[in-house]
Amino acid sequence: MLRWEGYCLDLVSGKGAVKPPSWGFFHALKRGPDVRYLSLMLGKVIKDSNGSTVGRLEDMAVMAGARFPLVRGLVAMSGRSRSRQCFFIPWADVEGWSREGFVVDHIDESREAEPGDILMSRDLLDRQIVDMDGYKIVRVNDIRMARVGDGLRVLGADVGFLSILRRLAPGRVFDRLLGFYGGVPRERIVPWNLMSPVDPIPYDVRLKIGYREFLAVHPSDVADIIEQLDVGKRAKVLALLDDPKAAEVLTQILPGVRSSVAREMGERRLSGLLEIMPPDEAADILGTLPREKARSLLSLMGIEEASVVTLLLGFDPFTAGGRMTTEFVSISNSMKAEETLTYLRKVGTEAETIYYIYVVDGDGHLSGVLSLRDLLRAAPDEVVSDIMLRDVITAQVLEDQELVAERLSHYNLLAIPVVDDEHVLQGIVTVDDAIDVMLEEATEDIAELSGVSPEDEMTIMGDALDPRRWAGTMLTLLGGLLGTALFGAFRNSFAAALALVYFVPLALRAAHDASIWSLAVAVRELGYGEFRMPVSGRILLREYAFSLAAALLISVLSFLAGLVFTESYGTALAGAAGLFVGVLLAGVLGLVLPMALKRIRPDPAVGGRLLGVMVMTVSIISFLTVSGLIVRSMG
Amino acid sequence: MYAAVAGPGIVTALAGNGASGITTYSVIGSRFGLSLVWLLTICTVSLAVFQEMSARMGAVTGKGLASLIRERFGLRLTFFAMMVLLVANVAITIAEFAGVAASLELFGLSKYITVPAIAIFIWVVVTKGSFSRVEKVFLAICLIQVSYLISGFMVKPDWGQVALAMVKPEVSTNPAFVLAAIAIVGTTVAPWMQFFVQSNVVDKGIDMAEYKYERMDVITGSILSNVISLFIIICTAFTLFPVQVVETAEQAAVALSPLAGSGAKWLFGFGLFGASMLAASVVPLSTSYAVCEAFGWESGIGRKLSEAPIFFGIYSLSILLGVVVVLIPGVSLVRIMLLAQELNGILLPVILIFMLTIVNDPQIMGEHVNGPAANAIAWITACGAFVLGLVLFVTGMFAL
Repeated sequence: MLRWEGYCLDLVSGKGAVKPPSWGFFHALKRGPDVRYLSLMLGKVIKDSNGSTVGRLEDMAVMAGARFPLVRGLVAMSGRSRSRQCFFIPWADVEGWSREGFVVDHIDESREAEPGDILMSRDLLDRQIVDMDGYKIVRVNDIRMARVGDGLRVLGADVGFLSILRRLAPGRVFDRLLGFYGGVPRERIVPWNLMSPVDPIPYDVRLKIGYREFLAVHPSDVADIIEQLDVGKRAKVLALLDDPKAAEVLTQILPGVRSSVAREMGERRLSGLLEIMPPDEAADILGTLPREKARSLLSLMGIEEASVVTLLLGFDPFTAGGRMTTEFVSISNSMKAEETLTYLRKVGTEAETIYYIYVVDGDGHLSGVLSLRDLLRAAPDEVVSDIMLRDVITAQVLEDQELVAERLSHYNLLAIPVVDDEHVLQGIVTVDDAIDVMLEEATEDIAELSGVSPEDEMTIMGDALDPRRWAGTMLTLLGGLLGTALFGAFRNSFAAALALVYFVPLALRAAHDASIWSLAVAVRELGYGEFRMPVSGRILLREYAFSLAAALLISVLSFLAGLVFTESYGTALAGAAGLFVGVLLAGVLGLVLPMALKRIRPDPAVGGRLLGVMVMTVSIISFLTVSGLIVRSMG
Repeated sequence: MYAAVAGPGIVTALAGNGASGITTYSVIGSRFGLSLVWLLTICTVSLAVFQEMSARMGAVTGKGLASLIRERFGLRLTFFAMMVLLVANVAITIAEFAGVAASLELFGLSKYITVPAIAIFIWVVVTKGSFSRVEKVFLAICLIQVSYLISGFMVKPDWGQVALAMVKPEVSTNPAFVLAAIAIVGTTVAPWMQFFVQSNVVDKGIDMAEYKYERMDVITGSILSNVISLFIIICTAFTLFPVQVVETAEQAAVALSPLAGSGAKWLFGFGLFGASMLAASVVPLSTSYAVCEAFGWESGIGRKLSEAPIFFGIYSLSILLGVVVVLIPGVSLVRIMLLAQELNGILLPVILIFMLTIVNDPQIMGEHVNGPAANAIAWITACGAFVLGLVLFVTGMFAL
């Protein structure tokens, strides 16, 4: 499980100088390997264990009436269009699956799906269902599933806007663009238990089951479902779970969502959950809550737990202290190997890792470390200070998290002890925390590569023979030729009103200008990684509004100028209208393209020019189309 | 019994003959005389067949056409179909606002005042849910179209010539002629009419038991509307052709002068106004219903704006576009109306093929799939429209 809770404070309150990582990146990781969509699986190749293709995935069967059912089997389609044949493959025969398709170890072409099963593509996909939550009728755009162990569990129907886009353009670019927008806010999932079909299905299916069925589902799946629910319902769902499970679910919910859940929950229950979850998680949750509420929650917690959490709350989230957990195993240096093992058995369930046992002296100073392997190999009565490794790699409490993560990776450690100025052991940072840190940093790096940062071009300029520089120049040339070709294609419009020519330089310059502005905004937002949906919605709106205003202004002014040059009312109007559309589109593109490019990651020098050419092409086409049409229609 | 079921077919037919229809026929009559009347005969049969198919699909499945397309073809093809429908319908909406502008300009009212005012009126009336009452008023005004029948007899045409023209095909590869042919097809069998009649049948809850009355309704509607179309062509052909090609509404009104003399302008203006008002409110509405139905977005004029934002968004944007385009100074209103019909004719085959696939799918239609005769006519229409579009494209390429 990935954690980056240090950021939630700012995601929620919007205060402080802390920058949250890109949500899209987070989602791509959290959901990428585990969440599956029916639409992306249909049509995938099914192979047998020898690697020869037996058919393509036509449908998936689930048991009717089951709650968040497991996929029972695949319906495969074999043969060409004339001699097509469908047969059923029980899930037990599926050996494995990946993005490319399925591998099965046993084929029986005469098998058919159980008549009572729901075939999801046939019976649900594209059909209308009643969303029992609010009793709205919606159309199923996709079916969302999650990998659970070796099986696939159906979570619900995706009825949101994104799912339409995903099915329209399942290509990598759009898929990533979607991921970039950050799934949660725009995805609308109707949980399986709240679905009810509108159309009479040939057999009697009752999909509707109670909320209690959440009990049977894996905590991260529950977290997933909770994230999709309306604000008011989340806490209610959590209330149905018993404490250990609720605590686990709570730690797995997205930080932004989680703090809203926490705020809705009763204090007594919440403090109970905080008490049983790992202290670093508890600290992260408390950090996102208003001060008053956090304080009263702490006062409700047990003294011991509260003091640990309070300690953790005191650290800057970007330091080793902020990342660390206090649940580690430490022993005194006089203990014997056998004693240590016994002790490990007792405390092992609580600790975050038991592979490293830290040895401290009477004052808590870290004196050495012992791996589980060393311990197992040691003779029972050996004293740990004799077998421990004294030269421990440590991190300082106030050290930057990135350095700590790098050190972990450099020394191939599973955890690194965190010590204070006096070398007293305070906690450990585990490898999964380090992965989080590195991913966040990687997100930043990608933004720098997005192809529009001026510094990148500077470095290239130093070398006149750099091939990338030539590639960029050639791209500009090609773009110019493309523009010429476009003018050729539209020469009829010009024949109708040669005076439109007056507008061409203006159209090109203005479109370029408008796109540069929104480009700058897009790059800035990307760079800071704050482009998550609620914020970016506002930014998008603001930028679109700006583009609109700029386009309006430019077209009105150029209309007046056009009147002077062309002395024709109609031509000036046609030119101005063309300009309006061209500039507007350029502005919008300037905002949208970097997001798309960021995912493709072209070379910086090429990326920027590619943008330029795209914007130019679109603005020329739209200018010529619109003004050409108007000129012609006025004939 | 008939009265309870009657309606969808007639309303669709009259709205289908909206302002752009009247104008298209006037222009064609004045420009090509009777030489395209044969196509109208074919289109009448096609229209009746397609309207019957739509009504039958509605009665059998209880679902709208957009819904059936989505469930039969999946998301991508549905998206394609909806884009086609959207383009075709927005074009018609623009044309209908052009009709509003043209008709009121006959009375000396500037379009810069009337069109925005009418647009707001339509928007408010439809979204506030009082449309069903107003619809009847528009329908009544539409009946003015019947005056073409009277006028048609008064110009004393050569009926033998008319009868011959109705059955004897005349063909030309002149792009203008092909465009006119496409416009006739696009006007008589517009894509939106199929969606509209089907959702009307579904809304009225007509099932297969009542279906025979509904069938009478749609067939009557189809024939009625095309008889009127025929008479518009007759009137303009015998009053204007070959002297004057209609380029303004004022000229088109001349076709009614045998009946109304100097009042022709008023009669024509009123008829055009009623027809365009009906279509200008019905077409955008039908568009947003269809699109929302296909994608599962909330729809219905009974909803609040915040509950069905996309529904109202599409509706409002179509109207807005209609207003904006019509208000472009110096734009030729008649040309806009013609362009819209040509565009519809070109896009028509796409929708027809979707319909034909569905109506022949026994899993959807059960025993009510198309008979061979209906299939033959329908496929000929679809292919014919496709070939016309292709011919236009090819001749257009050579004309470049």
